[in-house]
Amino acid sequence: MQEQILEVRNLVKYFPVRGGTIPSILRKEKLWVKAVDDVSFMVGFNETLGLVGESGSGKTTIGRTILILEPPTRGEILFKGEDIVKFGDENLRLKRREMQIVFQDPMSSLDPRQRLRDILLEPLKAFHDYSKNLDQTKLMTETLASVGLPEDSLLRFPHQFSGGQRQRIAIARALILNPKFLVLDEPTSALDSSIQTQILNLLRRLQQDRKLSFLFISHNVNVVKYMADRIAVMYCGKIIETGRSRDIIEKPLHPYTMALISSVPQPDPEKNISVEQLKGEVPSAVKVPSGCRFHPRCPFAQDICKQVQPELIEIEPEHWSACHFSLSFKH
Amino acid sequence: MSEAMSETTNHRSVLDINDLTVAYKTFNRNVVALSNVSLDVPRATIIAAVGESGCGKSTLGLSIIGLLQRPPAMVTGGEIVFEGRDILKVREAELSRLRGTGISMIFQEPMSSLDPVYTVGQQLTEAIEVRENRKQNRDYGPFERTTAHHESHNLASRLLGTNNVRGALNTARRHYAAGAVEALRNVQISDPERVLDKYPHELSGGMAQRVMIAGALVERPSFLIADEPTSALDVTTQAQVLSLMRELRDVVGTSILFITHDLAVAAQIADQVIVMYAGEIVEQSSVKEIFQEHLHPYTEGLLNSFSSKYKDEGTMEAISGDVPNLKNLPSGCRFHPRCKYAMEKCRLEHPEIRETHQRHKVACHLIS
Repeated sequence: MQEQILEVRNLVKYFPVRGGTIPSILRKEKLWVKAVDDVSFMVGFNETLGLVGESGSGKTTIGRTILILEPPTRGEILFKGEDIVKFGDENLRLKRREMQIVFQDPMSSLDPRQRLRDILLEPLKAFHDYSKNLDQTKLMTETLASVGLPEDSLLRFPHQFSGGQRQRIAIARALILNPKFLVLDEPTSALDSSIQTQILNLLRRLQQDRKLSFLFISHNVNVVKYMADRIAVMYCGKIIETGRSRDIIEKPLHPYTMALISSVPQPDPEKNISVEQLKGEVPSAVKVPSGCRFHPRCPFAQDICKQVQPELIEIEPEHWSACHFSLSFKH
Repeated sequence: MSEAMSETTNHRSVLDINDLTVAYKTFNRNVVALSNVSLDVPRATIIAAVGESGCGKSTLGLSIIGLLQRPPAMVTGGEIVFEGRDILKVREAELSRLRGTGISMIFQEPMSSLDPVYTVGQQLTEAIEVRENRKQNRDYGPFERTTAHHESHNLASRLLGTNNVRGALNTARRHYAAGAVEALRNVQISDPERVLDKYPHELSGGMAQRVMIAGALVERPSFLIADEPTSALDVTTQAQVLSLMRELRDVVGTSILFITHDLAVAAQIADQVIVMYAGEIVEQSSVKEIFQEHLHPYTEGLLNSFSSKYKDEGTMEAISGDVPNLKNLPSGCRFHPRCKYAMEKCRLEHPEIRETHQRHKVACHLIS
């Protein structure tokens, strides 16, 4: 199983709900937010898996759980074949050197009172061998150069940089330990569109140069399309469809993916977005609908959808969908 | 312009902005956020203002509805003519009557613009009251009026020991409630009666934004400013909100200034597009021309960053450099440090916005 850098098997993450309604407390019911509910996926070496979904679908929780920033409720997370869920603190700390995360809002993930030099030094300090054997300043300036920041920025504070530059700093901090795997959690959502393209191009170049593997989390289908080799679509804590980018976008097999793709506005006034909009709202992760989670909003829902939860099955080669009727949507 | 001519333009257009300049006071100098912006908004038209952060699109919206915080902001020049009157010159009391009924605004974050301590029904009722009382100029604000109603309900219900007196005692309220239900139904909320008694925190983002739009719809404004109304929403909800806006234009005849950073959204909704950069309009034309025959290099760059390719189809071309700081604007054309076609002239001379052909305006030295 050395082909994959990361393999996630049956990952479950529930968060307990405090309080609740009085009747539910009296009945001593324990309520859970089922943020991630039995999800399995793989990320190959030097590959980008794009995770798309609407807010509340559990994509960020997945990103945080696979780095054990949140301990998973159940499931296995195999990083280079080793299950890191079972790792002790020290082993996990050493393993994290190879897996890093970049968050959406660089202003809140960078310490405003640290100079850029200290921000970059922090990960180096965490691993002593680095500070002994390497010329730190050289390493820092090299990393800065690779993300396109000038050398003289080492003594400046985060607020002295623009939004795009701050995201470059966050990327530099993640890269300085030379990791193999990065979780990118909406890395460009807070940026202006012209800057967004710069950062996306930077990430693609870094992936090529350093042979990185990415888990790219975004709500923006166009961005994921540009970044990912394969896409997994999430809905209400589950992966409902996964496959190669082109297949997902051009030949979606799940009604939710179809609705999602057709709602994405295109920069062309003659390509109208679909009028068949989805009714209703994303269900609450506390009261998950029975059967297929999408059935209350699905235009094709039948009785079976209310009762039986569909499994993720391979409909076409490398194209998996969790819908009772995916075969009939086959192109 | 002769008087007769200006009258005919008034018939065609709802709003006419001429050479509007807005500056913000900072402790050592003024930062010009909008410089010489002119815009003519015809009836029942959606104009999308597209640009990146700091380009002045929100300042434009806020100055039209008179919600600029002054100071630090100040209008240093120009006029905003709405239905024949210069808004910048009317008194605050009159402006306050114009807000809502004449010009309305919806914001990006519905949660922060709905009042958390009143139910959806109370807030919509307030909007209807404003519409129906639009001729009387009351000096006290809507907040006090709503509170007064609220207290009398509590007293009456306490005396009679029931909650139902509310409707019984106040027939006008019941009439308003019907209006509020209808308003919610108009924005495709499936069970309006239930939503009426909810507080904003009980609603999802998309639902809250629809309540905001319902509030704006209730007053049937002739001009609506929508400041990034869909940016906080998911794409499936965004599609719903966009079709709602189109309906507002077609049914009520409202003109909308749709402020967005997303060209793709603009392509879907707008009749006309203005592209803004560093406080100026750099290009303005019909939506079709912006996407098919755009002239300004900045528009071209923006469009490139929206053309979504697959990973294996090569890289997209990004505009180099950063969004300029308004405190420290480049000389000449404000886009020249990032422009791949920049010439000597661009560094020295500021290009004026000119009409190149039928209703297509651009500010660039390349086009002459």
